[in-house]
Amino acid sequence: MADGTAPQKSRMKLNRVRRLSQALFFLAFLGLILQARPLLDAGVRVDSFIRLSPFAGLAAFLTSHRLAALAPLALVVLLAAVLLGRAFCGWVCPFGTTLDLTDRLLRPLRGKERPTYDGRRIKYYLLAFILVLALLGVQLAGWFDPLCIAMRTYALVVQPLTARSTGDLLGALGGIAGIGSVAHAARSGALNILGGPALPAYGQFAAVMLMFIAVAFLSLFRSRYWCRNLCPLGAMLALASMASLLKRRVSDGCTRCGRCARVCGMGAIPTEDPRHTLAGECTLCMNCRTACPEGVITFGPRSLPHQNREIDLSRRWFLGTAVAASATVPAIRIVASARKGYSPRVPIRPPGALPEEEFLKRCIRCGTCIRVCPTNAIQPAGLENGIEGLWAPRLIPRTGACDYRCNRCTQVCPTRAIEPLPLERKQHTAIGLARINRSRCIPWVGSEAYSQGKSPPPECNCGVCEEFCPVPTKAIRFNIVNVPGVGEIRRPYVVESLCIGCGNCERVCPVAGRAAIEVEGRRAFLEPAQESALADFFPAMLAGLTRLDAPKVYEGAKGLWDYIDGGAEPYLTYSFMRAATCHYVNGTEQKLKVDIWEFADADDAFGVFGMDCGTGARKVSAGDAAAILPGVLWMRHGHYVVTLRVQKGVLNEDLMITAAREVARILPGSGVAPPAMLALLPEAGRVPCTEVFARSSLALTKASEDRGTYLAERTLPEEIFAKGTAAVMAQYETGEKKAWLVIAGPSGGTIAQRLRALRLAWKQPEEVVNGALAFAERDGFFAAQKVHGDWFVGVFRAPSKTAALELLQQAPPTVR
Amino acid sequence: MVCRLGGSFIHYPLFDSIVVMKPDEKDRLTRRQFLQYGLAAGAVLYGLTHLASRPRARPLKGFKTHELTNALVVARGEDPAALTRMAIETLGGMSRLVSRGDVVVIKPNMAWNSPPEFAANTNPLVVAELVRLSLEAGARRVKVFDHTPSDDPAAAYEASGIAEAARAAGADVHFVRRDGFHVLPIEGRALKAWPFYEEVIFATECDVLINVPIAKHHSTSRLTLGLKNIFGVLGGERGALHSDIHTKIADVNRVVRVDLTVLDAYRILRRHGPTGGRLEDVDNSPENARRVVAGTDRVAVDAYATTLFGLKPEDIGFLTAAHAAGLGEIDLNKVQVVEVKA
Repeated sequence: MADGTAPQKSRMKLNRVRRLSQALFFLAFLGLILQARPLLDAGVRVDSFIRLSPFAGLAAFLTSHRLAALAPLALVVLLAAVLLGRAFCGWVCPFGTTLDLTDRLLRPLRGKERPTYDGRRIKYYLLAFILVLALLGVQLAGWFDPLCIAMRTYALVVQPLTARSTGDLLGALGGIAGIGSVAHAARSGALNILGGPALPAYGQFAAVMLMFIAVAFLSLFRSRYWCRNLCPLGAMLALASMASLLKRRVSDGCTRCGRCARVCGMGAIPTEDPRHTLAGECTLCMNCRTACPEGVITFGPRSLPHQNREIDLSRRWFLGTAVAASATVPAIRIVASARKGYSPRVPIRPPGALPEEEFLKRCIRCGTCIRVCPTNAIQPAGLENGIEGLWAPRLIPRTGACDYRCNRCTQVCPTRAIEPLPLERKQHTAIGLARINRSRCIPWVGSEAYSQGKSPPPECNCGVCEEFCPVPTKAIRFNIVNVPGVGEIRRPYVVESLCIGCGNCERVCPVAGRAAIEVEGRRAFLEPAQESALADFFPAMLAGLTRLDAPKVYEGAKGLWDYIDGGAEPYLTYSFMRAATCHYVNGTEQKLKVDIWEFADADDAFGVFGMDCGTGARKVSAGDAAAILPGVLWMRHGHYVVTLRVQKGVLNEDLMITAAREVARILPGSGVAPPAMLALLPEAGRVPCTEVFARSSLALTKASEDRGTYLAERTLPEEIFAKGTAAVMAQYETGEKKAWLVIAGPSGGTIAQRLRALRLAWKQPEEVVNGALAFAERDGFFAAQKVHGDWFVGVFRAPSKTAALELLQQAPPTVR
Repeated sequence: MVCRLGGSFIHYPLFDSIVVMKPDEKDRLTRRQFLQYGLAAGAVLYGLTHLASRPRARPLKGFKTHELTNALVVARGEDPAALTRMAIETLGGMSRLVSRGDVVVIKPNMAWNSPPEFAANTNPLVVAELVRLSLEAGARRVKVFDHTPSDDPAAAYEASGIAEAARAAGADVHFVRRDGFHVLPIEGRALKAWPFYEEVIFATECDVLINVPIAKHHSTSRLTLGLKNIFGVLGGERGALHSDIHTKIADVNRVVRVDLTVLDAYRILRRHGPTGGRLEDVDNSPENARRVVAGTDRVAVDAYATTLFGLKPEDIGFLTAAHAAGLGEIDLNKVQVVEVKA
């Protein structure tokens, strides 16, 4: 040992255990930093060490009045201190371990430790100062918490330095022929361990590094200077340790050789009487116990009363710090308020961050969120928004943008200054708003030059911002202007309701220096409105006609009632979702109304198309299927039904068909097969364009009505349709009249009972012919029905009983 | 200031040690020793950096001589891997392109942190099958990479599923090296030079280059197909390529020698490309998608792909520019299109 005496071998075991404990906790701490992202993805809480600190936790609790800010883990540490004294400082704290290492490094330079002053009181006053500040609403604990300091130092300075120097060195060797590929492989491997392959760069590098160096170099004066004299967490644990079970006791037999005082790293043993211990300073490093040649030092619950030297704190100073704290708060506010005029952009806080004031109170500047961000987007702030914001996280888009499919920063905040957000919610959370500077944006500058009469600019299209916008419907759109001789200039603009402020646009903007599109933090925790996708499907020009107005979207049943004011029921029996409508004009002579209706599935779109198609509509080729009558065109495509209706003037058919095709190209999904049930309808004698697919008798009735015949509700009442029953229907030539064939099912076994109940209600004379029921309807028509297992087949509006039965037989006998 | 762990030193006052940097007994250096150490260290460092910086004249990759047909093959069906295999087989088989011992570079589109069903990246099954086919034909090494526009390529490599699938098939999947870009001159109409990635440019790094794009809508270039996928081997400030993009796409393609283009049209992204993000924008229908298109004429492959979006080849600026640059045939009537169903 340093003073020349040999340690008692048998007692060294505890020292070794302590060093092992320090090493393990330190490696865990480093591991959580180096492998932060993979571990977080695997479900590990990478902010665990920060959550250990009761000092930071208490400060966060005091400013926010929320228990969530204080982790239960911190209370465990506090409880441990009550029982075990400041063992945390000697056995666990990674900052303490770091200082032990730097102490050893700097020991040759340390002068003889001359106790000229006793600085132990400072940490108690500092603790009081910070906590009073917290009670008054200012959060500065993170600057002085040892775990936060360690996290910042290692995550923001040491890791980037180490990774980059390793990467650069091995990368340079990679340029040498021969060992190149080995060097590259070694580089990949090394970087993977060191938290790569990306090499992050963080702002405030110098400040964080200098703070650490300053604290480390304090050991030129005393070992563990920080822990002895400055650490507020140490003070807190010292306060808790008054009832500790492990107090240092020196029994009789002490020769006052003073070896223990020399080896005590914390200076807790006064040299004038080594039997005493300075209360609250011992970190249970066990060096004294090992060094004692007489073996009289032990640790136990009761210290011998005269051996405990209580620290003498000053009442005046205690009050003084409280007063100083109360004076500091307004000072900080004054500076911040004055700075507001000078301050640059509103900072972009990470997604899930509390509103700004709350955020600054609760954030303890640990740097964990900065570390886990995969794109290097989150950076520690400087003093640009006031002193309170120092080292709080903010996004700098030019450095990195927020990845659309990542929500890691929301999962790691130890004080919940950033709330955890599930990925979907994060994708709809706006953290900022992008704004285009039209005097820097290449297309805007180009078109402006043109509009000022200057010669058309050379190629001035860009659009990289829109390309990288990760919002699925794009929050950047183009305003297109046509310049003769140059062509299209596509000028970007931001759709404010969709922009989430991720910063991808600003990151990729090719304008040198300040980007032409900049993202500013939103002041409120806003969520952008969800825009209906349907409005996107109306192009600016359709078959030569210009769009007159913005599309109007009607959502759900309520929207449909608003829109068509009665008559909505049949559509609601299909899975109607929303409808959008828009007008296109050609000057003042022609006007076309375009409707796009969206259904939940393609079968229902088929059904609505069938229901809506007018009698005698001619089949044309557009979308999945289309039919046209003068002035109206119906089309189905995927799960959309499109109707084009001429409202003014005359539009020739080809134009309408072209328009329909253009819409079909825009609509997603197509080539969907018609509902499988249609295959059940026989081909022979079928009138084209009369196939109907329905989920209710109401729809069937409406379909038939539109085609000139009316299937009374009584004919096929709603009772036939159980949940999940669908029906297909088509018209057939039967002599002079057209009859309807309906096949409905599957009914879940209830169809026979339903019909029995119905027949009792109908009270019609009936006849059973070959298992089929035939009967006369009112007004001279005839009907026939048969039940095949779970399916119903019926013929209606036939001219004669025979015709009805004939048609009935054509329906396939094996209906599933 | 010299520090040594665990040594035994006589303590000096701080000022002497740090400020004036005075050594102690064992620490002394004479002027001669100072010079000797300095020269020795300097020589070593200079030697190392010199070796690393010597510009090597490296021959450029040319087109691989092959015996594939010059037809345009469209394989249609349900299983992307089977479609890929069938397309290659119809072209004549991979061994007509890849010789034993070749280094094959497969360049997919894995630029986006997006799972396969969103059709922003190439289908991983297509890439993996090409890896398998190359190894079966005797390739010594199959490399798969993409220069993503993000600083976090790991996310895109993983989310696309391509890194995993390609590695399982035996490929060497790695990130591009930041210092691996070399400026080459271009006889272009808009570009005179640009940085290209060494692993597709130099003959020592690549014998066969297979470009494996996915067919997508693109707001600036209208569509992104094979010719635009080449942006993934470019360095430099790629944002500057977006003005006059069509001419520049053609220009960069003059330099990169693509031997085979295999276009993934199993799912196509119809709108909001190239990032996508909505399943409604993805078309996986047999009518417009569920295809793999392969051919040695990269312009023809792209020209065919335009028809899947309801467009004509002449509608796309970079196709007319590439055709004018003599990079391939744009008129589908002049191309032998062979359709096979899997």
